[in-house]
Amino acid sequence: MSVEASVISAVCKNKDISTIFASDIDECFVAYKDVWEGLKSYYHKFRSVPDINILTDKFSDFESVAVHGETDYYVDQLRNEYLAGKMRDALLTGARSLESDSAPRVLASLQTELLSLGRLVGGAQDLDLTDIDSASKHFEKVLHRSDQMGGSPGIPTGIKAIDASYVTGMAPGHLIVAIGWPGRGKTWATGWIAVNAWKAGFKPMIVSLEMSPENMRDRLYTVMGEGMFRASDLSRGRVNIDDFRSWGKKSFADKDGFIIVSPEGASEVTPNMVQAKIDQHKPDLVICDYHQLFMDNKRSDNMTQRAMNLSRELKMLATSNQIPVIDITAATMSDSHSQDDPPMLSQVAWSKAIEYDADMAFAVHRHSVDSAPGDPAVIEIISRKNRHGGDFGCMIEWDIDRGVIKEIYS
Amino acid sequence: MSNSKNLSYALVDYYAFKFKETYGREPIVNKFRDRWGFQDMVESISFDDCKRVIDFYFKTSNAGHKLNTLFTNFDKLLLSLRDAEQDKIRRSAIRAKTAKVVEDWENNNER
Repeated sequence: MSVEASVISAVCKNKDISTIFASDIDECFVAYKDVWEGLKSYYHKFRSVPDINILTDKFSDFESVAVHGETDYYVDQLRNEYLAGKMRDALLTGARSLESDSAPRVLASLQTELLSLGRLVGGAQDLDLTDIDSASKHFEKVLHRSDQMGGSPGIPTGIKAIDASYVTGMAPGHLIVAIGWPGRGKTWATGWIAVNAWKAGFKPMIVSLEMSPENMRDRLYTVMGEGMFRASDLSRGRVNIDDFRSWGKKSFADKDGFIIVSPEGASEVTPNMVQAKIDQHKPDLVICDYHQLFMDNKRSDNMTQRAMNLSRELKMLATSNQIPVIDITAATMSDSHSQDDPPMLSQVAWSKAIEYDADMAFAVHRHSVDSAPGDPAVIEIISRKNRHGGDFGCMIEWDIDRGVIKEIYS
Repeated sequence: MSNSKNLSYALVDYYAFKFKETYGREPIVNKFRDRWGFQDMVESISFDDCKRVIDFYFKTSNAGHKLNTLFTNFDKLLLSLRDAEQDKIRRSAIRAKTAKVVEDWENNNER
């Protein structure tokens, strides 16, 4: 018995075609695609679901099936059957490809194929505004989470100016975008946020495509040490190992991990790979450093398409894993813009996609690039979009070499 | 018109001054030909705006800061400059507001 025939028969019997329209399962009809199209066209023309006999008369190879359940039940069966078939096909194709292609390439292609099937699993989420019980339960849950997290349901950034205005904190599912001109403190500032999250008991994961993991680690130790180490000493290995060990023992006791991920060799990193690392390390916060160095899952050749896909895929990473993701993005240099001030969203290539997908965006700008060695840098942080509160801005006096940081507002 | 001619010569000199300040060498400028581009500029926007645009031009990442690019883009440069100036005022106001928000937030957290 064909499940497709059961779905069509159930729709005709129960007269509820809207169930199928909401489920968006057009592509699951294969054997009786013409019958399904015929049913839809009848509905669109006469605004009613046809009797099953009309379909059996019109399509001679179609036989109706006796159905007893709700249409949803058969839709679920059809979706399961289609999904299982597609997964089998993908796995078989992958196994065959292994004979002539390299394992990493086959894995990447398999991941893309399987991820694309996710569209058949997730549907639209409906929410009834008048359902006070459901809203009350939601508020209770959010309050409980906020109480546990020290005031807001998300992870605090540790920067007072942001935490006071971004009232949700870096909440599950949020895509946060940090923009800046090259070499103006984006990685430092987001590294500091990661350290603050770690100090508050969360587990950050930085996917660093710009710097080697050792360089990134030196930077983070400098920030964690709050004046104890100099970045310039760490980079030259000038550290008292005994002091360092005792500091590490004291600082890292009873703390969650802090993961730095870097690509090996020249391999390209996609959101699928980031997903694999999320599955492996289970972080509470992911930082992608930086947007322009990542490849989208479809490995688009077109730069615009790639950047747009990536923005959407990082947002999906955040929502599907229910963790916040920070996407670091470089502003685009142009002949008609100066780099003396923090970039605006319009100065970032493909800024529309970022504007749509980001829950919060802020610019990071180091003003005193020519300051004398030893003088603290002045880094400006300014909101460029905040869906969850008002605008914010502050200056940070930052002794980058010693990791000593002070927030100022003048 | 004679005034704009004089102003255009002044702008040639100002461009040469900014060029030398940036690159440490004199630019190669044909005063009698290139002043026409500056005359177009000064007849389209004010003399003060022309000078501000030249200042701003040397802050962009343009390679070589050539005259032709300035002549064909001075209107866009002026728009960018105005956006940047407005953004500077806006950012300063936001910082002042944030200081107050942070103070209230800290007081609330202490309670």
